[in-house]
Amino acid sequence: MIKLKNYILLLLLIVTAFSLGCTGTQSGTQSGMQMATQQVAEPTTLTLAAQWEPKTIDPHEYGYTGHRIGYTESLTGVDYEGKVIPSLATDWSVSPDGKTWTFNLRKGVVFHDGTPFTAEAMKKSLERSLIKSKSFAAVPIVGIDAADSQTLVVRMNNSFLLLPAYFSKGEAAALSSSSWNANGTIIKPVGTGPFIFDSWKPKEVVVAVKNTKYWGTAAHVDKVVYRILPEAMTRSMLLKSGEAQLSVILPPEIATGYMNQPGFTVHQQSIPRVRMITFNNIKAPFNDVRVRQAVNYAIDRNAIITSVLEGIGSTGTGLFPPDTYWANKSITTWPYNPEKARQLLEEAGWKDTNGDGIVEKDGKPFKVKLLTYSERAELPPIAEVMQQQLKNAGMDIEITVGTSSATEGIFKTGEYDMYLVGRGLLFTPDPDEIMMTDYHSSGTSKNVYGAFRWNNSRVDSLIEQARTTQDLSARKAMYDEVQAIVVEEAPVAYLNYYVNLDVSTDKIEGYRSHTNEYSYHLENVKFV
Amino acid sequence: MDTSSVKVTNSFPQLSGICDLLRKNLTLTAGLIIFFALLLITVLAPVIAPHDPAEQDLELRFSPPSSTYPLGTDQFGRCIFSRIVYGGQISLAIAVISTIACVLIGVIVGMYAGYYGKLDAVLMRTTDIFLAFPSIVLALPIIAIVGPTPLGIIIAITLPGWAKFARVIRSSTLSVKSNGFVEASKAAGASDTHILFRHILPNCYGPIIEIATLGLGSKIITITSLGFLGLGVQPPTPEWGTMINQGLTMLEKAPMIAISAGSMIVLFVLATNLIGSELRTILDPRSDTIVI
Amino acid sequence: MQAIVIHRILQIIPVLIGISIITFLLVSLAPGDPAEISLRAILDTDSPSPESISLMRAEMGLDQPLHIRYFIWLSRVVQGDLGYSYLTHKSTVYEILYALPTTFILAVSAMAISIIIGIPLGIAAAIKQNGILDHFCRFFSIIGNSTPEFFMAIVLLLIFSIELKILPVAGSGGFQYFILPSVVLAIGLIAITSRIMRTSMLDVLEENYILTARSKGLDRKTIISKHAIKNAMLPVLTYMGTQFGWLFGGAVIVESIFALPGLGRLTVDAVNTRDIMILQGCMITFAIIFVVINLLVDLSYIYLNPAIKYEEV
Repeated sequence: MIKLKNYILLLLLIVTAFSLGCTGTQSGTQSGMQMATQQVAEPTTLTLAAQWEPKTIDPHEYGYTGHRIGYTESLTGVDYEGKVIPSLATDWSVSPDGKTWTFNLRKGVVFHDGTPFTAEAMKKSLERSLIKSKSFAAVPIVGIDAADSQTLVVRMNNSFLLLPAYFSKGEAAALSSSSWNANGTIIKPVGTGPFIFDSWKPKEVVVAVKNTKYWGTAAHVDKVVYRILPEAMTRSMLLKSGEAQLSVILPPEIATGYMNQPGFTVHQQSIPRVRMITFNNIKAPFNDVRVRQAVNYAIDRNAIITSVLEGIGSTGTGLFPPDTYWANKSITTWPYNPEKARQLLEEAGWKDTNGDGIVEKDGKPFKVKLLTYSERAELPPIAEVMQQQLKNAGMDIEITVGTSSATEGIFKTGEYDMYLVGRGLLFTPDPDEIMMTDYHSSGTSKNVYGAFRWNNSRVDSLIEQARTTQDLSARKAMYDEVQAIVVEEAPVAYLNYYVNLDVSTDKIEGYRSHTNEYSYHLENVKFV
Repeated sequence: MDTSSVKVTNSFPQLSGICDLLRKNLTLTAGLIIFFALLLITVLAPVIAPHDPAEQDLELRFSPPSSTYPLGTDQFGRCIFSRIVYGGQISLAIAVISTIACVLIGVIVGMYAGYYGKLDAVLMRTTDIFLAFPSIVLALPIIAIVGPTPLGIIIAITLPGWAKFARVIRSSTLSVKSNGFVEASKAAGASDTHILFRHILPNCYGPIIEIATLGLGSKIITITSLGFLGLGVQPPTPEWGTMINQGLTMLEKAPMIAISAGSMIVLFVLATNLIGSELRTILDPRSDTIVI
Repeated sequence: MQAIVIHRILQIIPVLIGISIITFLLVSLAPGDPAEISLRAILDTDSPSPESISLMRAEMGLDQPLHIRYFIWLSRVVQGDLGYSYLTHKSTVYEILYALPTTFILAVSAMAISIIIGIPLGIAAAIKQNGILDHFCRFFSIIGNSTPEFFMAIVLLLIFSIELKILPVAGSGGFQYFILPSVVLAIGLIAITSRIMRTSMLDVLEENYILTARSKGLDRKTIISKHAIKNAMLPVLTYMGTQFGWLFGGAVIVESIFALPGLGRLTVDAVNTRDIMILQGCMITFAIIFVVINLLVDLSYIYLNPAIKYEEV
């Protein structure tokens, strides 16, 4: 019995300790919360909620987070309209043969560890990046030299005009060599940006603090807390509860709810990202161009925008949104024409013989699998609307929704017919990369989004030609032709282009959505 | 040690006494009324639902409740009421089928384990193995393999679920066996199969019905939880858990989606819990509600 | 007693073997080639060459028959080699050890809350049998048991985080972040705990020694506080021990809603991303936690009741 008593006493002790700890922390936070609201002069913390989760903190492997938050920078940057602009390099030039690039580096820049930003340091950083990153596989770099402390020379195997565009990427970030250990493994990213990397808790949060010695205009807020929340609902709740001042990328049905609400600002920004269907071009029924065209005719693109996207977005024409430089403006949207779709299906041998509304071929009903993922919250509802639209044209589709990684896994096995994706077009601010990975046969033979397993020799030669052409309008003409061929052959179906909807509370001002989420430019954000 | 097992007495009332019982036990009556009302609604969905649950009318998106749309419409202009009514069909069908499957496996394993001592240790260790995984932890990989189809979900729920049934039925079997009349039947020359199915099984009906009712409720919770995680029955098939998941993003524009789907789940589970716990009190007045 | 303890410990061996077989079967049935998935992590590439895949298949023993593969796999697992996540390139053991504390804190807090609330509630209900509190208790336990965790979580989130703004919505930045999730997890357990405590109290109050004490003229208060509660607690605590493993399962839903980076969310993510090495690690961890906790509960039960004859129920 004594032992039993001890046992119970111990348990009660734990319980008491626990409840005390509980009340203690609670009151602590409450007073903390009050302080933050009362004294604005105290250190300010900007909290933003975003869905993107870095799988690694190494910017040379995954560079987006560093650029978006602002603790890393590259030689070049991208402005709000998507043009390449100077950043850590003030200007650059290329030799007439297009093989040697010279970058003049900005003076007076120091890394967060206090070491000066020199050509030698940039060379070391880029050389590591070329090994670590998968982004530069297509860049024919032979060698990098530091001509003097502020001049960096990059030698190429052949003429390569996209180098400044590639060097804007997060994976090309300038990192001090104190960022990694002797094995080349990241310790923590030490960059040059307006914020200094502080900590990372995988799946939860990245914290950065203000860089008081920044070469440009210093940030207003003292601390940035980047919270990783894949669920749009949670990001929205964080705004309402006041825990976050900014929630990036909310789906239209949530974001439009904030439009007439006092205390919130909805930021709309069209972005170079297209919602499209990737067909499995080597598997029946979509190995037949007529069936792919039939799908294009059967989709009511306007209805998708009004019903799912709350009217936000523009109907798809070619690869690029019509208001960007690289778009082929002569391409028009596929008209909605279910009769035409049925006619094309019939030509391809699909006909409704048993009167159930679904077409058959060789006795088998038209039943295909459409994959999509939930991170882009509007994709599953678009899939549902399309399901209904395609059914009206006699096509039965079965929808599978997973996370992007899960559906990508299925996609790679080829066990799908249609893949509804949101495809970023200008990760490199130049069409070359998307053309190479998604439409050139060297890319489509691999497992990338885009014209899966499709190839066209004319498209291949045009894309290759554009790579070595210096004249801008001549290049554009080539890409225009590629876009026209792709729309006609329909290895993919463009639905519409993205508009990002970010919502901020009226506690902050100075935020502007960036067209390709290159950077959130949080250094411009301040508390009101 | 299994604390969730039930003490068994063989006092399950005869049919004639049921009416009397219902009149006296209002909790049980309430549970049964809710249970059968919900069952009726879902079975009669084609008659009750004013619209096809998949029918979209994009002109009428997010319309408020009206006479044609009793609970309003969702983001595609579909009738929420019809989707709720049909949504029950799939949720309940999966729950009922997997509960029946659990009972069948549980009866076979439990009776044999209880009756033949030799198999007992092996079978009970097997149940230990299945009980070691939280049911959702076992359900998740099964869905990953089979896919989020109704069949996949039935398998994913049955596989971790049968072990509890087997344990309960085993202990009932043991208590019936110790009654002496099994020995008597044996002496009279009855075969094992005859004893198992003619004497032991009928005496286990009480506990079986009781745990099956309670199990039905917990299965609905698992099914809807899977739907909530996005791993349940896939859209556009209406299902309560999936509807809550989707309804939450539209809480301001169409609150009825999440609220009504949530209420249906709570009501149904409430009914099964009321019935189950009352049955337990009737079968063994000294025990109390321990939901298994 | 020693024999019983040893017997009980030996009993977990077949269970552990069974767990390993189930995990192995589910993982080998999962879609995707484990060799290719591992190579992606090791070689840091998205498309390992077919030659390297077939080499890896041979090295991993994937070209062997299923039962041989099981033993190869088991010997790796026993040595603590649970493979690598193909997404984060970290070892499964690392990912699990990273996630475990969060889930543990969650489960312990939920347990603490249900003890603090459930036990006094049960005692009060038993003392005044069929009183107002008893009825409230019964009502609460039925409602608590009938509401799915995810629904309860949403309702509490809307009240405490959105309307009252006193508790954070999601994340694990401090103790206050664990309040809502552990309350949600505790509600079901409070319901059960209070009912068992009530029953146990009623049982104890009818025991001979209590009746003797009463006949000796000891007052009711003393009897209850000095004798009854103490003895009635034992079955409740035992029962709660077994529920600890169950709480880990409840964490799957709760962690997903509150964006807590624990074992439950790791499991859901692993299913969603088909990260099978992580998935098998999570399954084994969940099962082992459950088995070990049950073992401890049983052993403490045997230890606390040396008199009872250990019987397999």
